Amino acid sequence: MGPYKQVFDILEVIGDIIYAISKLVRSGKEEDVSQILGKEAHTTLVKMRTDLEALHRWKAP
Amino acid sequence: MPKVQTALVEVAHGAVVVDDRLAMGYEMAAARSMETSDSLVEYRAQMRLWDDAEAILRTVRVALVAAQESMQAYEAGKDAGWEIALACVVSASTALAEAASAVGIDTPPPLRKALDFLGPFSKKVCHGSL
Repeated sequence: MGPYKQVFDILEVIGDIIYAISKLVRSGKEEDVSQILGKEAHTTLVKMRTDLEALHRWKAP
Repeated sequence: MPKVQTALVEVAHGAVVVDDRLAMGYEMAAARSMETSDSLVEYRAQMRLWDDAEAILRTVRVALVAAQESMQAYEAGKDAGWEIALACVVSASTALAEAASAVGIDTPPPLRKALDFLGPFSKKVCHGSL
């Protein structure tokens, strides 16, 4: 376990450094509202799918 | 106005949380209503409150993007009616919180805080159906 543990410890430290740097970069720049919201609301996608199911259920010949 | 932009970002994050909760609830409500309804009209009636929340969520998303763009235009020296745009974000988000509450979904505290912060900025009236 010795050498593996050392490798994992080093990787963990590298991960922490990358996370800290990305946090610093993000804090210096405001997030974009469009990117946060994404392309479409999940609820709208669920509504579209369930509406189709409902139409199929009651309108199908 | 960096603090206003930060508040808009908070509202956007809050809208995403509400969206996730609504999507899950909508799915379950739709499945239940399909089982208990005898017609499409009855199904639509049972889903009305969920449909209202979904429609308001779409309005919030449009209002947020419009507000951010008007803020950016203002910072670039153009008057793009940012106060009206903020008023629309506040009124649409408040309506979303009410609509979500009507179907048993809580508004995340950061969203409520951001709306409290934006409130005084929205002295203008949001034109439209809200």
